[in-house]
Amino acid sequence: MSLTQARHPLRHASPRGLPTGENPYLPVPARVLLQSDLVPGVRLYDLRFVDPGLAERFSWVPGQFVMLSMLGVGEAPFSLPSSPTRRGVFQLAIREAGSLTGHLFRHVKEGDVVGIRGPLGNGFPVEKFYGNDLLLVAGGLGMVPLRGLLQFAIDHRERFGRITLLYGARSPEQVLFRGELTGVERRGDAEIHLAVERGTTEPWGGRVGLVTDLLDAASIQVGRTYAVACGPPIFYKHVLDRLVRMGFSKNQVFLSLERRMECGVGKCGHCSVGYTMTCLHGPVVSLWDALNLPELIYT
Amino acid sequence: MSAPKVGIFGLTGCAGDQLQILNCEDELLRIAERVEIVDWVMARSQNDSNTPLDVAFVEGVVATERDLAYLKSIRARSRTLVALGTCAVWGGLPAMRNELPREVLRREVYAGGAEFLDTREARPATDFVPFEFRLPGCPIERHEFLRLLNAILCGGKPEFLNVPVCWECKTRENLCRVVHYKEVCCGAMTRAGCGARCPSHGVPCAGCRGPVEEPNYDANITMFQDRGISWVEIARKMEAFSAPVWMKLGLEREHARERARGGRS
Amino acid sequence: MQTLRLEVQRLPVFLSALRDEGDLFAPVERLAPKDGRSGVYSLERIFDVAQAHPEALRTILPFKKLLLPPRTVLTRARDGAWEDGDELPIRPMIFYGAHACDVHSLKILDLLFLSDFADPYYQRRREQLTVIGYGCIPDDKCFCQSLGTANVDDGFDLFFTPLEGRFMVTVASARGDDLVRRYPVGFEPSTRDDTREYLDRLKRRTEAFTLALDAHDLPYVLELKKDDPVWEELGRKCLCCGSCSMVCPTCTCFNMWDEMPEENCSERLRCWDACLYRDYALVAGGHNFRARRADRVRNRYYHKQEAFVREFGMPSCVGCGRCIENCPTGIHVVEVFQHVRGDA
Ligand SMILES: Cc1cc2nc3c(=O)[nH]c(=O)nc-3n(C[C@H](O)[C@H](O)[C@H](O)COP(=O)(O)OP(=O)(O)OC[C@H]3O[C@@H](n4cnc5c(N)ncnc54)[C@H](O)[C@@H]3O)c2cc1C
Ligand code: SF4
Ligand code: SF4
Ligand code: SF4
Ligand code: SF4
Ligand code: FES
Repeated sequence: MSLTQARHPLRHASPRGLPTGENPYLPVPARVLLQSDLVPGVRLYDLRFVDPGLAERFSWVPGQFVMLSMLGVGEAPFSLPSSPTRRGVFQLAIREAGSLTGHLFRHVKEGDVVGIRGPLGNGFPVEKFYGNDLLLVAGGLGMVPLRGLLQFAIDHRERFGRITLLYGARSPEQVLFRGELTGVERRGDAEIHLAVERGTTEPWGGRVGLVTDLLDAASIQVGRTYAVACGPPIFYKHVLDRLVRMGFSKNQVFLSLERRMECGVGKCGHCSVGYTMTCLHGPVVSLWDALNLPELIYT
Repeated sequence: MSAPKVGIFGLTGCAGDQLQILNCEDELLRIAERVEIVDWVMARSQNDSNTPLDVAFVEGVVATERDLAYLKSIRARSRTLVALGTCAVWGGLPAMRNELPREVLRREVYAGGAEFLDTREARPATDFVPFEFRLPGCPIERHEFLRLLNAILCGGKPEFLNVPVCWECKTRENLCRVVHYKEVCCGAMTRAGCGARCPSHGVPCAGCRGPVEEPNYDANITMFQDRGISWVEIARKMEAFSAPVWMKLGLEREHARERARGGRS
Repeated sequence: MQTLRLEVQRLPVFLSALRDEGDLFAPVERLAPKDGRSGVYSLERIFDVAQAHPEALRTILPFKKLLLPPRTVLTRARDGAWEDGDELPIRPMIFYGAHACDVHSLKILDLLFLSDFADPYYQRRREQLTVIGYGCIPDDKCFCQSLGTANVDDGFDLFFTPLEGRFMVTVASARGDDLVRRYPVGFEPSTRDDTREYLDRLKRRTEAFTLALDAHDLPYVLELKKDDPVWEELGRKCLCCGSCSMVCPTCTCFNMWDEMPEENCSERLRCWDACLYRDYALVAGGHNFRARRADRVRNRYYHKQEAFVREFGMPSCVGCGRCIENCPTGIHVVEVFQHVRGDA
């Protein structure tokens, strides 16, 4: 039968399923290979689809996310913090925040199976970034999606100019991927500047202060740089404003939004910010688009 | 692994919620295979009142010192504690935790708003010790109880929607008691889960499952008043479960006003 | 498109025959306790075609309940494997008594559910749905004319417009054509007289509208009025009961959660939800992106008249008047927009 098809250009011309299946609501089993504590309260999971074909096929763009399901508990969205260049296994970095994450932390062991559907969302417009400098600004858990982008950029180092990561965390104990970031810096793949809000007993070579202080100190050639920011609402409030004052055009700045999600495929409405469905047209949006949404992105 | 140990307890109350559990006959048999019910005074004569419990269900309000001591002892020996029924969850003071209608509050601020705290002794069990789960209902819904139990046994946490009765009422396509009959229906203030039982049987919702979070009391009252219903009538209906405290205060004020006018009281 | 005519007495014969094609749904009057008549209708499966009230302007729930049931089991999981929870096959359904606004709302649902990640649960039901329209005369709550949804020439299978003693029958799909050929109960080519009378009726109908919404440039007007006090006022009046969204033919928001009916078996349910409910935009840690009632009420109007327009080029309100009829506090969508524009 013929169905009415008068679609807005924003929508994809042909309906499509997900790599995890034609039915976009159906989670597919994936096995937890490894789990390790990144920092207290945040764990890194290495996962692999049980279906070997899918495990090899599964690819994504940094900034995309998946829905993780657990039997009888529910589902929640998590960013893909690894680069698709490293096939076969994908990672998730998860903070314990409520019922699903709590259950995951308490009951799921290595070798157990969880459900995954995805990848979802648009991801970072990496091709647009090619040939330019990259400025990544992360706050707290915002480091998770940016780590995927950083890995991707390093795996395709020749396609990018200078890469700078500015990352602010609450305390030295809360810095995610610390060892790995030190390695990246040592190899000269990217410049990395860390700031923590307060020092502790732990020896801390970096700065004590806010991530915005790092922005003041960094030497950025605004004209040839794309900035990507990820962090909690309060972080955006300060960082985005600063980037604009530094002279960044609003479509040179990208950010990742976090909203309540249920379906992940643009149907249930929960993730809407004005006319943007965060799960479908986001979570990555340009600052210009973000500022032009009829609802405030910071609230 | 040995079967999880379960206890079911009643404080002061009608035991209606425990009856609901007994009514889950078929399911109860299946559940009994998976858990060990070690303490349930209502259903068994031989009870063990010392073993630590994996899950405990508590019904009723705390109305005596004995209730309180009993409740504390149950808490102390239980890993997961569930409040069963509206009494245990809300007791007699539901309005206390909700946004009071600003207008009424403003009017009542000088009427000694703090008094009632002491005048009413029966209070919900949830006022005294922390509970992992709250299952409202007068009595509880069997399907909600079973869902919760299954989830707890699997280590999960079920989602009970925080939406009003109108949500279910509309999906059942009832004639709305407010729109079509100009009655006081507490549906918009009351937490869903009962399948809009009352409106589906042609009577307005009495609010027995206790309020949703942040009910718009002001707007509900205005709505009933606009339909020509008297304040006294509105208060009588809302006082039972939806907003007892300030409805009571409002009623007293209304009566005082009537008396001053020399009218009926 | 093809235009036919059918004598009034022949219609029940046709409809009765259609019961062989699938479950026949039509507006049916709800029973009221006292005199039996309520004047309120709901869409039900019928066995006796005399029960049908195709002229009824609105059923409490629109036919979205056939395509997106209030509660669906999306997936069922056992031992770590998830499978489709739908009970298949879906039986063919015939919806008799669709009005122009219903057909437009069907197009809107199609836009959302069949584009991008096509929704298989919707699609399965949609493919089994036959839509038979019926010409209506508006009442004081209809304002489809203002939204361009008062007339329709595609998106249905058959459409019956009542004329004197007969119907003008519009055939808009091969499926509709199949049906009139399979059940030749007296369909004939339409005549010039039919056309004349149809046009007269159209004119009378156009004049019958008493409610109008000035939708001109509404998205931009709304953009300008984001902070208007009218939203605060509505926030004070609205109960956030969600009735308006439940009954709206184009409100499609849903919630998903898991239930465990038995040990080690879990079902993922999808149930209707509304942006007016408090927890709609609540995330872990307790942050609520629309914490205030005023924010949530505003969202409903913005989603219909701004967000959807930007996404799909048209509003997601078809002017059916259901929300007006069902709001217990009497919030009236047309009055709200008049207020926003400063016209009232
Ligand atoms: C695009 C995106 C990417 C994310 N990436 C990560 C990540 O990489 N690591 C990480 O630790 N967290 C991430 N989050 C946040 C994570 O989804 C929430 O912490 C998680 O949903 C909490 O679920 P819960 O059941 O433990 O919490 P509860 O508070 O018990 O949540 C109950 C339900 O509310 C919904 N919900 C609650 N918070 C959120 C939220 N923030 N977003 C969407 N739905 C929510 C879910 O449906 C959840 O099942 C991301 C969120 C989004 C939207
Ligand atoms: S009858 Fe009561 S519960 Fe049902 S919609 Fe009306 S107000 Fe809500
Ligand atoms: S918003 Fe109201 S008038 Fe518009 S389609 Fe929905 S129910 Fe009908
Ligand atoms: S108006 Fe609200 S409930 Fe209706 S579709 Fe839009 S967001 Fe969903
Ligand atoms: S029906 Fe009326 S009171 Fe209920 S949520 Fe809608 S606008 Fe608010
Ligand atoms: S999560 Fe359902 S629309 Fe985005």
